[in-house]
Amino acid sequence: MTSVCIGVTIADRDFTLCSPGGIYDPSTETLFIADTHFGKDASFRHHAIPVPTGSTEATLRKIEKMLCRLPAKRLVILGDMFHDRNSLSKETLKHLDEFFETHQRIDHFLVPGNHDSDIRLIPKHWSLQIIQSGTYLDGLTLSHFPVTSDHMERIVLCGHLHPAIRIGTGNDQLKLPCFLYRDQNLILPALGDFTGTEVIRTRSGDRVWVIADEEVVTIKTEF
Amino acid sequence: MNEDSPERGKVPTPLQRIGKYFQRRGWKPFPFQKTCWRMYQAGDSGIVHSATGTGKTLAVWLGPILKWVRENPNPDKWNPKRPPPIRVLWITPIRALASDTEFNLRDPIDQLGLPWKVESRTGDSGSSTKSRQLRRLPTALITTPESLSLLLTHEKSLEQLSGLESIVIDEWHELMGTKRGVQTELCMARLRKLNPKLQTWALSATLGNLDQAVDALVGNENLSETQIIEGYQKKKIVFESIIPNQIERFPWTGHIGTKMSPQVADYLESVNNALIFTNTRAQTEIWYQEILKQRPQWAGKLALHHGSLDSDVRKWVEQGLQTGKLKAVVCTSSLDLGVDFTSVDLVVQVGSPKGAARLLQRAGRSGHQPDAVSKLAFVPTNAIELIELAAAQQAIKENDLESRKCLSKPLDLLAQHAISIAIGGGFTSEELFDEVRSTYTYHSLTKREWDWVLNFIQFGGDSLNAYPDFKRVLLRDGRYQVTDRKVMTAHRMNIGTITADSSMVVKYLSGKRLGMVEETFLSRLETDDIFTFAGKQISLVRIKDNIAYVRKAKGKPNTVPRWMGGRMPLSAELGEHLRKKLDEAAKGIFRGPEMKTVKPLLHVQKKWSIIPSADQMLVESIKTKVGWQVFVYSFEGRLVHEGLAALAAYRLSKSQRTTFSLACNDYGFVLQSPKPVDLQSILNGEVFRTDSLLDDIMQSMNSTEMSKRQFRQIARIAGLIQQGLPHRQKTAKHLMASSNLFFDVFCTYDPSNLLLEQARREVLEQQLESDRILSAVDRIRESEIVHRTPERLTPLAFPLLVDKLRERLSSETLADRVARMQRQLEKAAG
Repeated sequence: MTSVCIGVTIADRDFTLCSPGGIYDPSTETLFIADTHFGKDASFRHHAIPVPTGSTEATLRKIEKMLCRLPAKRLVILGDMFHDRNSLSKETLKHLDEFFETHQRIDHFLVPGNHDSDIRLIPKHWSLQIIQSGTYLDGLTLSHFPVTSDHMERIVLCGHLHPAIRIGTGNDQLKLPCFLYRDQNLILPALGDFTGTEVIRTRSGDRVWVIADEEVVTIKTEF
Repeated sequence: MNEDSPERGKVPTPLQRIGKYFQRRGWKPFPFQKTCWRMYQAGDSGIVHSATGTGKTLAVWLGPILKWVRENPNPDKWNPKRPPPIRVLWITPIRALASDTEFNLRDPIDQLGLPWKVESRTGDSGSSTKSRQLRRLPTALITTPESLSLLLTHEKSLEQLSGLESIVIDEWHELMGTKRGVQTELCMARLRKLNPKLQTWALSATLGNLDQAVDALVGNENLSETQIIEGYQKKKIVFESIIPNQIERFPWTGHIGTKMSPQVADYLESVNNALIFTNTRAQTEIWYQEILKQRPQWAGKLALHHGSLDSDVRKWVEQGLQTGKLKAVVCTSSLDLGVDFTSVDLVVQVGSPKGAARLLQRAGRSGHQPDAVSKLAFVPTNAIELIELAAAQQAIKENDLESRKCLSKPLDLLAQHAISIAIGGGFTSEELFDEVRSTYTYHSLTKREWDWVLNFIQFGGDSLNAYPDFKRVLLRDGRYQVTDRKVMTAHRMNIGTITADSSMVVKYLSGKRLGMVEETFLSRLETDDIFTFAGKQISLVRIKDNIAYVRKAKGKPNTVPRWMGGRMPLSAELGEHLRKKLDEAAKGIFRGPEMKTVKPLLHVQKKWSIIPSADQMLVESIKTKVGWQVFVYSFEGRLVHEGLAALAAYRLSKSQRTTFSLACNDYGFVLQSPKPVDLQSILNGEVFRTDSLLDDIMQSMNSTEMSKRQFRQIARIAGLIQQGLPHRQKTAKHLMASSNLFFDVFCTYDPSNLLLEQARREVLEQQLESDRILSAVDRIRESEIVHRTPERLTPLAFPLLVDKLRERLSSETLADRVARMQRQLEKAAG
């Protein structure tokens, strides 16, 4: 898997959109990701629904791929890092321990999402800093949920929606996860390997970039 | 002593009691009913088959009654306060039928003054009734396959059920060959284990494979004799076609024949009550509107009925039919089964029923008494369908009815069943393996498959380290059992095989429910879009909490809801008779009004090309503006043609560089190419060679996508997706994932999961009908392949090309364009 990135300019600001589903902001040297839902497989197994392991590890590999390519000094997870309280199984912890061990040089931040209700369970040795929703970072607002307000000066980076769009017609249709820019919100696709998507209906003014296998493709929407 | 001779002063014999019961009703037992009673007394099992409304129920039901009366001859000792313990289980395929069945079964009990308790137990029963029943089951229990499975999870019920004398499956033809049928088989195996002398009886419509129907019913280790008893045979059926005033020589399937509605309305004037069957729910809505347009005065006396409507609405319609208050009801297969509508004296079938058995079954919904005449009027939606009706009549005459194919050992269901048994007292591996293999469906279950199922329910899958912390079924002292109450509850809530489509409730703003519409349809609607549903014209106001709120609307509807599935392919049996009818036509024989009507159409076909005889397969190649078209007509049904078309395109494109686009219908398929096609390998049969046939078909079709779709039901049955109760769904939302997601996860992280293999197998067997493809290919290879190059589209080619166009154009422009093409061809045909 090679991750391919494209540069885009949004509200006079440059970003890099990467195909697994992250956004790199060159001016702050930060990689943003959202909705990793680590350990969702473990939560399902805990409730007697047989889901095999592997997705948590695959999600971590995606992040590492991006970290390899990009000179990131910070990693920000925009919420829903874990799926629920049962996600932090032995298996999940093992893989995340390894990840934080390997990437000590980078500062890690988490904006808690609706699924991260039990952040107290997060091991201290991960050096993961919790920041509140609405925190500013060099002209950007960081949030889990999209923010709607009439007077927004900053771009909001957020997740939560797991956006995807349907392209094609009739029998020849594809549903692809996407980045969506709408009403000042730049919404990231869910990065987690075992997460569903929510098909959005594009409106005029939307900007959409889909993830098609390893490429990020700009979609023309009607204005 | 002869039982039939009454002796003065003595207690009447059981048969005399029954005789009196019949007398009081003004009936006389049919010979087949007496045969059934005798067989039952002898301890046999079996199947009673015939058309509906011919006394099958009493034929089976009175057997156990006679036997009990014989064992308890003294009425003075009959105490209604102490009803006998459970003796008979009566399985009905539809929950909604349970109360009617209960009513019917109770009648002889009451009339004979038996102390039997007859009750039903379905998803609709209250919880206090259910727990009372668990303590002491009634003498006869009416239930559904799902509720029976559920009953077996209660250990308390097992001891009582070991005293069960017989199980009766109503409408076995409906269950057989479905996962619900397999579920019933598994339950019967369990009951047989509890009582090896259990007698099994079934009521069924006539099928092409009754032997298999009996085998599936009684299993492989049945101890009793089995009987196939044909019911009342003299039922008279009259078929009639409503022939269009003008026959289109270039028919197409797109417009659904509402042009015929004035004639249909006229026809309805001449009868008391009618059922109008259409093939899809969308057509039901359209025909309801059309007939009402023809006869506005019938408002209130015309109703519609389909599976998406609210159950209250359906119940109201059914009652209206029973009391004869409704003039006519437009319906789908939702009224194929069930309640006897004695007042219905005409059945109208709109569009081809696609199978002879279905036509027969529907015809039997009218004249619902043994001696009445069933009358069916057929409304073709295009001219070629008249040939289908002629073929179906021939098939019925020759008693060449469709078979119900059995499924091959679905593991999803087996896993579900094993968990049920683990909850209901537990099992050892060998014990349940033998029991399961005693069913017809799982007779070839291997030890490897069984071990996989055990691993699946115990560990989540067969690779131990891939599913840590998973717990569902535990193995203790050699017994598989469930101890976790949460697991029990979740499992009990999810027993069953019916996959609820992701549909939304449709409600008026005032709160009145109209029914359910699939989410995919609603998601395409914009606010204020007008559509017809439940016979009402409504517009969408908003969607909130998975409920679509609507209000009444005026104006022209933009759309009719479309529901998934529905389109049945032509059956193999009917396909064969269709080819025979064409064979006759090729020889110049046109028998019956239907064939005479289509004569002009076939005449043009013959003039421009040929009418293929039974041992020929016609290939037409035509160049049109859009490209080179190759039409192949094998009359094998749409699903088979989809497979054959993909196969032909795949194999042709290996030797020549071109892209094909495809279209199929029940009569054949068309390949279209931007370049001329070298037909050599089609004409010499090379394209249809049998080596690696199914592999090539899987390769050529989007088989992964198809498997994914098939996986929906599997994921639900295997307990990956828990449907749960509606109000529970919200809290458990974080444990919901779509079946697509499960499919992807398994493909990536546990590709050897046997549920994936099952999905692939079900695609082959059910979606591609691989057996039919194989036999079609065999037949084609033995046929003479005749090639023609007509100058214009022939009557057979025309509908295929329209289907082809449909993929690309919106419906309105399509209608215009088709009409224009039709005019051009009519002109050319002179």
